[in-house]
Amino acid sequence: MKLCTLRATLPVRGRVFRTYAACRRLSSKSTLETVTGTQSGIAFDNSATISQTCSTTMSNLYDVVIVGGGISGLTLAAGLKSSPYTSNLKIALVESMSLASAKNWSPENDRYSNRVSSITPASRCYLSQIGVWDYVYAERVQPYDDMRVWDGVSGARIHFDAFHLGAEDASIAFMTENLNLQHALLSRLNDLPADPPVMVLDNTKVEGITEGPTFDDLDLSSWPSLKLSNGDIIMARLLVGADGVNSPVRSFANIKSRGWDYRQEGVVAVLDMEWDDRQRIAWQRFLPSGPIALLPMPDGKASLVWSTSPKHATHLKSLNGGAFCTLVNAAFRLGMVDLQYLMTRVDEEEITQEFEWRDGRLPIEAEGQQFPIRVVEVQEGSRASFPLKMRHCDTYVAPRIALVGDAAHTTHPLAGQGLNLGQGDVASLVRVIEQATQEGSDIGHEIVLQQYWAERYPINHMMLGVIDKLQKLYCTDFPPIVGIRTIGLEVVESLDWVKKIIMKQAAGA
Amino acid sequence: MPKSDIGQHAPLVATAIRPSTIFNCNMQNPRSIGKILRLREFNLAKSKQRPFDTSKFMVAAVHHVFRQTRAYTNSTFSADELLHFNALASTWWDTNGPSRLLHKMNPLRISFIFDTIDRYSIKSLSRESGLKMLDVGCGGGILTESLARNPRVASVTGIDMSEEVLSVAQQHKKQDPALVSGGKLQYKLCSLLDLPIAQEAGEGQIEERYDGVTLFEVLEHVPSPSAILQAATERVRPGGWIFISTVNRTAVAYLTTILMGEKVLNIVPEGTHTWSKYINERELREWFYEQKTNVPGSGEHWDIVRSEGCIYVPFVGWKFAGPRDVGNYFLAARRLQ
Repeated sequence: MKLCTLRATLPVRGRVFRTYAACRRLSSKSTLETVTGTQSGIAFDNSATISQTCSTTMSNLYDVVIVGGGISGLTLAAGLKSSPYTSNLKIALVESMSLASAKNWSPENDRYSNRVSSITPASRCYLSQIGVWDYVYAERVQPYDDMRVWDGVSGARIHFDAFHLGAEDASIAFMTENLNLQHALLSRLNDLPADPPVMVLDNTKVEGITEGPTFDDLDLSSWPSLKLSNGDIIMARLLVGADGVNSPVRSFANIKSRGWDYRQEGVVAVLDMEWDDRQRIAWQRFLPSGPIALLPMPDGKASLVWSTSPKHATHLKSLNGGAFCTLVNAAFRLGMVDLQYLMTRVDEEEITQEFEWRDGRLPIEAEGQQFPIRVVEVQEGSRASFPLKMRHCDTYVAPRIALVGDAAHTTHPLAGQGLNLGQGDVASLVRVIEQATQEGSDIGHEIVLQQYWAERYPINHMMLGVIDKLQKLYCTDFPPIVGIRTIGLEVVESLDWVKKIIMKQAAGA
Repeated sequence: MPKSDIGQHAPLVATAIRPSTIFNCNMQNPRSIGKILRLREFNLAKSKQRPFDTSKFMVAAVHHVFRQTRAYTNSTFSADELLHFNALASTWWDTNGPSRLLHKMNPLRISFIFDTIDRYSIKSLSRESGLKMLDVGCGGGILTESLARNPRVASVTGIDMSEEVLSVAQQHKKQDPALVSGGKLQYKLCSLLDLPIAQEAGEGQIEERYDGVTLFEVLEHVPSPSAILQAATERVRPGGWIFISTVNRTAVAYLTTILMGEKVLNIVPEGTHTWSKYINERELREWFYEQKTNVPGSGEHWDIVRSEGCIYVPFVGWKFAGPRDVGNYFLAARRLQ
């Protein structure tokens, strides 16, 4: 078994901090008999017999330390605090950036952040369950119940709608800004009547992780000990890495992350549509250079994710707004040869003329049916790009360590699953911790955490695998492959039951 | 484990009970001799009743091949068992090591204990929280620690005969500040027979006897299971519980626990199990039934309220499934007065 290689002791990185050495010396004189506390809410009484240094260390023991104040990390904190079984755990959340802007976020009308996510019904359900969804600004959430995906080379199409979801009023997913979610999560954490409350340490970096100290009658050598940039040292019964692709927690645990870069960048932007057509449709066209997706946002806006070569990404970001919008329209409407030609032009007027001439030949009734209505404006400063990659860890757990979200796996955005896989991880980890606290098991014990890994790894692996194969299948215009994928897509399109299964999987059921 | 002994003193004629077994059991407690005799005799009688008995065949085969001579140090634990578990001490808490299956069994044990208490406790007699527990054969403390962390348990005592294993338990306890400071958990190096029997609580006295005694994977490692059972019953308060898990002495159990588990798949340390020491579910039932009939006037009365077979499903874990008289099983007995 793979796990066998990852067992045993935590690697020692760096040396044990001087404070610990001091503690150890002092503790040999004065025993730690005054230490009190339970797994559910460690609290330490410090009597005068314990030195100041030692008592500082002791008061910094946490049941759960979450590194990363992104959506996964915050959801985990909110999830644990919302459960009756785990609400009394002592939790700390460490985030290197400031969370103030997310906490005090008040949405500006008509302006949207370019960091947008698609929330599947399963994720939304979990967020409702832990009381977070009530805090989300509903007017800034755009559900969609129609998805049109087609092959840029052959034109083969597939269409999903509410029928394939099994319910008339069901949604395929909900589009919203990450900030909206982060704000909701922080508000929920703030309002939760939890005792003790979650200790949120933002603007605080983790400078190093080592093993904990050993005293005469307390052995914290299996507890990860975090040195923070504010000078504090905190120790964790369970350290959760929700710290993204380059997870320091993962490096500490010596967990290998495998995968590859797609040699593509995702260009994102917030766009204004020609008019608010009130349609709730997500559009995606697979171009050989990468898929381009237009996802509906409220107020006649749309969010763009255009995966393309780094060269094109740079080009798209450098163009002025008008030319950029024209190229977006062209990418959804024109043939590959025309699009490639337009991509080589830089002058806005020339691009517009070339596009209009070609677009005029397309049937007007196809607009809004076969491809989206036109994009007319890009929101100032909303264009950005990020490299796309696939990563998956061999394991998500080590003794007293668990990884969630992007720290454990990263995927291509073409299916809008990244955030949702993380939410699934969190829901599963909370369930496992709940069960362990009820049993009286140590929540940091590897046998407990392995249940989380066993539950999530196959699900994530399948999703990552399918997305990766789709990406590879559509990243070519080699005719035999195009032929095969076209036949495949048309077969699926004609089989409603297959589409229902696909929808069910994509919804996270 | 001391392999050199294997075969050297193997009896040519297989018997379900060896003279040494009787001879070496606790001489201070004549009742235990009677008990063990009855227990083994019952096995024999039962095996005769069956038209074709695979287990009888297995008795001959297995005894001949795997029977080891044991120098019993006392009636509750034998020297080779002691050696075997001492050797396992260092890896006891390695969840990917030899004790992995034991770790995987812990949730099942915990749920068995508390589900049983929830479902079958008699309100007027027993407590449902603030429980006082005794974990016999606690080993490295896998179950004992879980019990101590459980909010419903007020105190738990873990006893074991192996000093090395118990020191592992003590060391591991230090890794959890909650256990160190909680004061709910204590370990004792002693035999169950040597553990003082608390007297019945009088007026205004605190009940010192246990609400629950756990004998998980213990009876198949002791030469005199009835002495242990007897000692356990004396330490349980009325309304309290004895929780047992062990293995049936069947061909299937030999194939799964010893042949597959120890020799083929190597998921259980070799030498952990001795087939001839396994105890059938019916024998335990019978034993508890005799408690009522054999000691007239004592008023002691034991009910077997729950008994379930369990199996290990690879990639899933231990589950209650399958018949209770074939392989591993759990049994809960409640004391009534």
